[in-house]
Amino acid sequence: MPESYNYNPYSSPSDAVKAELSEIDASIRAAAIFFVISAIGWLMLGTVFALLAAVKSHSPDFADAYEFLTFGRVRSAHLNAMALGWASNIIFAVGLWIMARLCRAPIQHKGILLIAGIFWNIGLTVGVFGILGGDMTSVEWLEIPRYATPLLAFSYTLIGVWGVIAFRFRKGDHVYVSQWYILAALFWFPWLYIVAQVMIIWFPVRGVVQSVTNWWFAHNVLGLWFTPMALATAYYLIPKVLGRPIYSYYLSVLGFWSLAIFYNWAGIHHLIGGPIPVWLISAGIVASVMMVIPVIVVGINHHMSILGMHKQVWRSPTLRFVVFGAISYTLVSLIGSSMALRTVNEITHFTHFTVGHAHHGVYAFFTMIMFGGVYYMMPRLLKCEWPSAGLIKLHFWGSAIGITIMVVALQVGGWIQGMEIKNAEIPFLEIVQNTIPWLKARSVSGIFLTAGHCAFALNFFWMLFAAGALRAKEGPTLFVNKEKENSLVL
Amino acid sequence: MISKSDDTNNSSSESLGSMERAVMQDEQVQDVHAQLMREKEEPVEGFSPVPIVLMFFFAALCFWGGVYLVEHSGGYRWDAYSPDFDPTADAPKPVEISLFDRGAKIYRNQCAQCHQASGNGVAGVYPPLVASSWVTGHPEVVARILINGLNGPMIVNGKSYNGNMPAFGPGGLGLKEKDIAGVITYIRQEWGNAAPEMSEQMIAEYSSKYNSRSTPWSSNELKQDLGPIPEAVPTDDNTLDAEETAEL
Repeated sequence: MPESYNYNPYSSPSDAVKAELSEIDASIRAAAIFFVISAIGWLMLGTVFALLAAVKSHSPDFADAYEFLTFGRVRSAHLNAMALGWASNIIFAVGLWIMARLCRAPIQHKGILLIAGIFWNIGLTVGVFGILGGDMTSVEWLEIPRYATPLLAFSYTLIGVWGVIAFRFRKGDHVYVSQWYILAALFWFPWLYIVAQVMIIWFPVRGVVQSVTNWWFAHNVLGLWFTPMALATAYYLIPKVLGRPIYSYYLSVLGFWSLAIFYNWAGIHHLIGGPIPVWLISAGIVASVMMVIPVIVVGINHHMSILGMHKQVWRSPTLRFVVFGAISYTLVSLIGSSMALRTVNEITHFTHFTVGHAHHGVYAFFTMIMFGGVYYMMPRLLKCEWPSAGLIKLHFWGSAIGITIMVVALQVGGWIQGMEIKNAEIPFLEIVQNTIPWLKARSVSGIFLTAGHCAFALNFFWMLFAAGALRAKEGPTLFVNKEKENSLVL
Repeated sequence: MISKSDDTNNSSSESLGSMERAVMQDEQVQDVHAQLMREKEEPVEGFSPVPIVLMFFFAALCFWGGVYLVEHSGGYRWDAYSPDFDPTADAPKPVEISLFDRGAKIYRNQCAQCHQASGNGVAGVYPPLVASSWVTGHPEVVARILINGLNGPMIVNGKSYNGNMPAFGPGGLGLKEKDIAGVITYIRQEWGNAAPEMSEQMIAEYSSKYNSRSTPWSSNELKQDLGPIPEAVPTDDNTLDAEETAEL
């Protein structure tokens, strides 16, 4: 330790910033912990729905005694529990926390944020039970019945506005790349959600415009809500943990604006072959391929930032998850761009390949980065360390192996399925039967993921309820031996 | 680890109040702060330039996007659904109006002032076209009149006329060949006239023969040096009719 080191927080500019950060952490603590608890609750519930749906897809007789457990309802309940329950709650927690920290602006009315968060989760509970009860709409990604959606939209406004307010009262001249992504996404999501609700559910537009709106919405939830939030988290955590700057400001700018310009068009590639004016589909295809630009740019920016520090990445629970997610972002996006090409899409459309792709994006990319965000954020909020490195390890390997099995199984199986569907010689029922081994592999992957999620939840609640006892622990929880731990400053 | 002895921060804590000093020295608070102090600085960005190769690659990608849109956008039509739709191949052909209808229109605009809509002309000046052998006879005669004009007296159906017929060929009012063919077809087939039509092909031949002539014809000249009457070329309609009849 250097001689001049002084832990009076007011003695140096950098320490003053840290004292400020502590104040900001305190301002968002209650709401963020509530959002993480809700997110983990939805993650576990969504996992149960996912397992049910996965097993039903190869063994249709499984748990078929109750109407609310039929495949159609359980699948949609899974989608909404994960997209709006797990993903959006964890975005509210991690995204708002990063935003407040980078703006160096404490959340002013934390009570309103907490109450709005409670209403978001009430609305979602009503919605998911509505789906299970048979009230779901027929529109994919918008299945939540209309009696729950206005509450969701309203409470979102009261949650998202705090990120915007933090930005308004930010300190410092430079706006960091994470702030761009979070600020933009806080506007993009309500725009998408409200336009889709109005044009499809409340005042339905005519004919194919509905399906255009539907896929514009569904794909943009991934690209303009999950993706920017996950990228913002990666952009914050990689330099934060490693203590070195992000490689290039110029690449950040190029990556942000190319995503903002192109992504919004991409969703229409879901309608290739449909009765949509062909120019609209072609524009969607071109935009999907253009997504190669932000993906390569972000990939290079992240890669160059961690270059030479792979050991630290591997040791840090946060970065191991974040880097897994960042690599997945490059992979899933390049696969996605090629899937938008007509020749490839003719094979992958209407097969399990697409399902594998969706999980590749939402899980291997988004969710893994957000796990990393939780592993970094929670010790700061609770002022204690993660109780068990073993459980974090179990979480990482459960998730990493599980999602790898799932993506490989569904994409290989889906490709074979697509080739067989194009071959008129093969009877349809035979094709369906040929998918069964791959679907069973997916159920196996579900067991790995469930194990990982249980380890995560266990570690989290252990930390939450035993925070006082864990407080005295010195040094961060890392993936290294005790004796080595002291040499590592993190 | 952070040393927790009081000596190290004595000097700086002099500026703080005693309460704050007491807080800062509290062991538990120090523990909590240790985590915060361990944190690295807030992230910043470096300013490494974008690799130039990347810019060329992205430019190529944008170029491909433009070409793809041009090739597969179906002319931005709302009713084009196939990616291979070629907006130029399927463009609606201009409606083909028959020579007779074309001629009727020209006649109303250019001829009816003198020869009248009824085709009966004006006594003594403008000869009638109805049942006139000048009109329904040898096609070359009427073509000569239209292309080069006609001056001086002429006898039609036993009555004498003396007027000025202007030239409608390139040396005169400059009607298109198609229009001349149309108007001749019209006057040869309207009002009970029943002569064969004047095809475009025929008028093209007469034009090449007479376009260079600069003076109008006189009625005497008209019937001299006539070529053979060309055989009527069967039109598409005729062949269709023939086929239909054959099938019947």
